[in-house]
Amino acid sequence: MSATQTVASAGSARWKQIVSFCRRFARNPLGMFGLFILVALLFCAAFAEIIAPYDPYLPNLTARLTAPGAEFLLGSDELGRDILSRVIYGSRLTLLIVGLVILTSAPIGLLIGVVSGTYGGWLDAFFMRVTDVFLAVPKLLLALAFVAALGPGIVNAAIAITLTAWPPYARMARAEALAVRNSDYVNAVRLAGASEFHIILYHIIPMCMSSVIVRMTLDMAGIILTAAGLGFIGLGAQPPMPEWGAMISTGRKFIFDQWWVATVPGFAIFIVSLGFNLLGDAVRDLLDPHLKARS
Amino acid sequence: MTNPILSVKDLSVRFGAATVVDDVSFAVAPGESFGLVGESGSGKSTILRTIMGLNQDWSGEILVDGQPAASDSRRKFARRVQMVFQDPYASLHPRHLIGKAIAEPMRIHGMDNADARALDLLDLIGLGRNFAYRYPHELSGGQRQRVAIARALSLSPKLLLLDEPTSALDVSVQAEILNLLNTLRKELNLTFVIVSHNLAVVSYMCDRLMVMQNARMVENVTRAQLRNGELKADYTRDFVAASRL
Repeated sequence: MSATQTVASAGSARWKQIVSFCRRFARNPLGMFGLFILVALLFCAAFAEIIAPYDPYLPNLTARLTAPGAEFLLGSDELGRDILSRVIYGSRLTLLIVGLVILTSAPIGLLIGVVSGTYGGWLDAFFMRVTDVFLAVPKLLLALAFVAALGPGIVNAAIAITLTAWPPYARMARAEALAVRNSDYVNAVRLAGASEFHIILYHIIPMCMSSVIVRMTLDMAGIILTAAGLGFIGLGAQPPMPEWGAMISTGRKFIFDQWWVATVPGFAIFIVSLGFNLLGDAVRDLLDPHLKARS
Repeated sequence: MTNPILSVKDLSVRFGAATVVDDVSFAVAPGESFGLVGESGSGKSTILRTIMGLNQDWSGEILVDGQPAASDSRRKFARRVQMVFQDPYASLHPRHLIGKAIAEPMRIHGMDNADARALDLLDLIGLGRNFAYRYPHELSGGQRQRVAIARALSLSPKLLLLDEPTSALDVSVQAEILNLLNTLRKELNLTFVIVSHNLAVVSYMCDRLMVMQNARMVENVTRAQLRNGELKADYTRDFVAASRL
C-alpha cells in the first residue's frame, strides 16, 4: 500500500490502472501474439489500397487460376484476380461484420440482462424467457432464416448474427447484476437517494463490463466463423465482394486441382480466429472476476 | 421522551415465514447515542435496515423527527438519516475513486462543489485530500471505514445508523474508528444508533442500550446500570458475563 505513490488527479489514477493492465498483458506471450494478429488485420484493412498488389475486382482472364508464384504471390482465382489482394481487401468485410455484430449484440444483451437482473419480478421473467427462446434456436439456423427473409447481404448477415449473439450477454449481465444489486455499495447509494437508473448506469454496468469485454473478445472468433459460414452458403457477402467465406465457396469447385483458391482464404479465417481466441484468453486471464478471485 | 429524533413502535419484520424482529419499540433522543446489542441473528441489524427502507415486509411505526419514514421521498429521507455498513470491504464500489464515492451522494442531490466538499470531508475524517484519487483496494479496512463514514456524512444527516462499524476491523484500528465517531458526534451534533454484539464497544460509545435476543427486546439499560451490573434479565447477565471472558 505504501508503494503506491500519491496521485494528484482522477485522470492520472485511471492512467495508472491502464498502465498496470498493459504491463500485465505484455507478460502473456500468446496474448501478445493474438494482439499482433489483430493489429496486422487492422493494418491490412486500413491500408488495403497500398498493400494489395492488384485490384481485387479486376478480372484478368489470361491469368486464370495461376498457381502461387512470382506474378501472383498466393495465386489467382477463376477470373484471374489476385487472391492475396482479395484476402487483404476481405479483411475490411470481416472487420465490418465483427464490428457491427459486437457493437449491437453486446449493448443489447448487457442492457436486457442488467435491467432484468436489477429489477427482478415479472420484467426479469419476461426478458429471461425471451432469452431462453433465442438460446433454444440453433444459431446458424436462426441466422439462415433471417437472411433468407431479409435477403442476402453483409449488413443483413451481421443483423442475423446479432440476433443469435445477444442472449449469452443478457444471461451473463443478469447474473452479475443479481450478485451486485443488493451489495452494500449499491445499497449505500440507494440510501443516498439514487434512482434505479443511476444505480444501473454507474454501479451495476461497470461491474458487468469486465465479463462483457472478455466474452466479446472470445466471441469475435465465433462471429468470424459464422459470417464465413453464411458467406460460404451464399447468404452473406455477394460476389464479387472478396469475403473470405464466399471465396472458399467459389474455390470449392477447384479444390483438387487448384488448391490455393480455397485454402488461402481458409487460412486467413483460421489465423484471424486464432488471433481473436488467443487475445480473448489473455484478456480473460486479466479481467475475469471469477478467475481473479481464485488466484 | 418528548421529541425523539427516532421512534420505533411495535416493529415486526418477517422474512417469509420467519419473524426476525418481533414487536420491538424504542426511541432515541436528539444528540443521544443509542446501542442495540445482542448475539448474531437476534435481529438488530435488520432493525437498522428496516429503518433505512431496505426491507419491505414490516409492520409497526417508524418515525424520524416525528414523521413516518416511509412518507418521505427517498431523497429527503437520505438527507436526514444515513447508515454506515458493517463491512468496509463490501461497502465501497471497487471501480470508483474514493473522492468520487464520497461526492456521489452530493451529486445525486445536485449540490454544488461536490468534489471540493468531498475533499473537506476527507480532511474531516482524518485521511487527507490525497486519498481522493485512490481506489478502495489501495486502502486498509480502517481507512475504508473512514471513507464510508465520510460518505454517510456527505449529506449532513442528523441521525447516523452504524451497523457493527468496527467488527470487521483489527482491534488496533477499532479504537481509532470509535474515537473518530465520538469526535464527529460532538463536532457535528449527531445522533447515533449503534448496532453491535460487542458490549465493550457499546458501553464505550452509548449512553443507553437495548439488549435483544431471538428477535425480541430483552431489556433497556443505561451505561451506568451496565457498568454497575444492575441488570434485571437473566439473558443480559449471561451476555455480560460471556463478554467479560
